[in-house]
Amino acid sequence: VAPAPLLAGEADDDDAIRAVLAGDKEAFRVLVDRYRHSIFNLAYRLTGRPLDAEDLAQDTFLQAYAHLKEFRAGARFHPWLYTIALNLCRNQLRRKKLLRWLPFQSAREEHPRMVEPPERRHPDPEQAVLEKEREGQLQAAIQALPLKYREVFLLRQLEELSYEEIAQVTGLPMGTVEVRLFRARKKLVENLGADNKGNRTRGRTYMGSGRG
Amino acid sequence: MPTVSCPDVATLLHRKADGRLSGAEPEALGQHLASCHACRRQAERLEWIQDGLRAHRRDAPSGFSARVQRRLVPQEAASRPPQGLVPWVALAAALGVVALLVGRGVQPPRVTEPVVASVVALPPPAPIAVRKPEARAEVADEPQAPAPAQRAPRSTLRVQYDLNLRAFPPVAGGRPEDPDGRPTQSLRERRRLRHQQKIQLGAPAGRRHLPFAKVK
Repeated sequence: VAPAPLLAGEADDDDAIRAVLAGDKEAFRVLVDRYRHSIFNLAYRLTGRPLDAEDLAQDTFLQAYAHLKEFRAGARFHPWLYTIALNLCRNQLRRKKLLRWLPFQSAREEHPRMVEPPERRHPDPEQAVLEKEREGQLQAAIQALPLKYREVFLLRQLEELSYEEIAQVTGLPMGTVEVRLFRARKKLVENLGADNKGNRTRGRTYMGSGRG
Repeated sequence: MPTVSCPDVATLLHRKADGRLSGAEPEALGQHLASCHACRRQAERLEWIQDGLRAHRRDAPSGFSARVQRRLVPQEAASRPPQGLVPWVALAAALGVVALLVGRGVQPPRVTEPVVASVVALPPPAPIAVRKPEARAEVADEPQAPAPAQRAPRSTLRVQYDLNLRAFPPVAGGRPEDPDGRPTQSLRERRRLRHQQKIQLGAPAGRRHLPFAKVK
C-alpha cells in the first residue's frame, strides 16, 4: 500500500525527511514550500541579485536533497539548510569577485536588470517610488558591509536565528558571532549616517524619505 | 537608575536589538536618547534597517517549488556537471598566457661566450648612421664576404644588460663567476660594490650618486 502523501500543514520536518529517505520524492516539496522564501530572501540579501538568488536557492534545495542521508536525525533542519545556502552564496560571491577581473565578462552579466515581480508593483506611483528608493538604500547599506558581517547580521536580523544557531551555521565561536553582529550594526549605522550626509549635501533628507 | 553616556549607546542599542536589555537599562537608554540628538539618530537608523528588512522581504518567485521538484530527477540519475566550468577554463587559459608572456619577458639572456672578457673589450656603441640608397646599392654590388657566424639580433633586454655590465663591471671581491663566465653578481650588487669603491677612493660626495651611464 502506497503511503498517503504528506501535507505541508501537517507534517513536520522530521516526518518529511523520513518520507523522502524512504523514497517519497514528493515529500520533499513540503520542505521546499516551508523554507523557499527564507532561503531565497537570504540569498537575495547576501548577493544583491534576484536572478542569482533564485539559482542559489534552487541549488540549496537540490544539495539538501542529494545529501539528506547525511543529515543527523534529531537535529534541526533549517540551520542545516542555511549552512548549505550560506556556503553556496559564499562560493558564488567569490567566483563573481574573481570573474570581475576577466575582461570578457560583460557589465550586463555583472549587473543584470532587476525585474520587479508584478505582485510587488505598488498601485500608488509616488509611494512606489519612495518604496523603491528605500529598498535601494537598504540594499546598498547591506551590500556595503563586508561579507563576514553581512552573513551574521542577516542570519540574526532576517532569519531571527539565535546566537547558537548562527554559530552552528557559520562554524564560528559564539563570541565571534556576537562581535561580528555588533560591528555589523555599528557599520550599518555609520554607513547610513555617511549616506545621509551625502544626501543632505544634494538637498535631500535621508530620514525623511526613509521613515516614510 | 544608571546614567548612560554616548559611548555606551552603541552597546545598549545592540543589546536592545537582541531584546537583551535588563533592569533599568531601557529607561536609562530612553532618557539619554531623548536628550542626545546624535544618539537618537543612531537608534533611528538601526530601527529603520530592522523595519526595512521586515517590510521588504523578498519572496521566492512563483513556480519555485515546481522547478526544484523538476530538477530532483536528474539529481538522482547522475550528478550535475559543475556549473561555471567554462569561465574557470577561460581563467586558467588567461593565467597561462600571462605566465607565458611574463616568463618570456624576464628570461635572462643566454650568453655563449665569456661575458666579462667581451665586456672589457666592448667597443663603444657605434653612432647610428642612416645609409643613403646609393650607398646601399654599392654595398650590394660588393662581393659577398664570407658571412660571419649568424648572430641572433640583440634584444632590448640584452642591450640593457650589456650597458649595465659596462657601467658596473663585476667587482673583485664579490661572488665568483659561474662556469659560463657570466658574473653572478647582480646589477644591484655590482652597483653597491662600485659605490663602496668610490667612497673608498674618496670620490666627492656629490659624485657618488651619478646615474650609472655617466660613471667611468
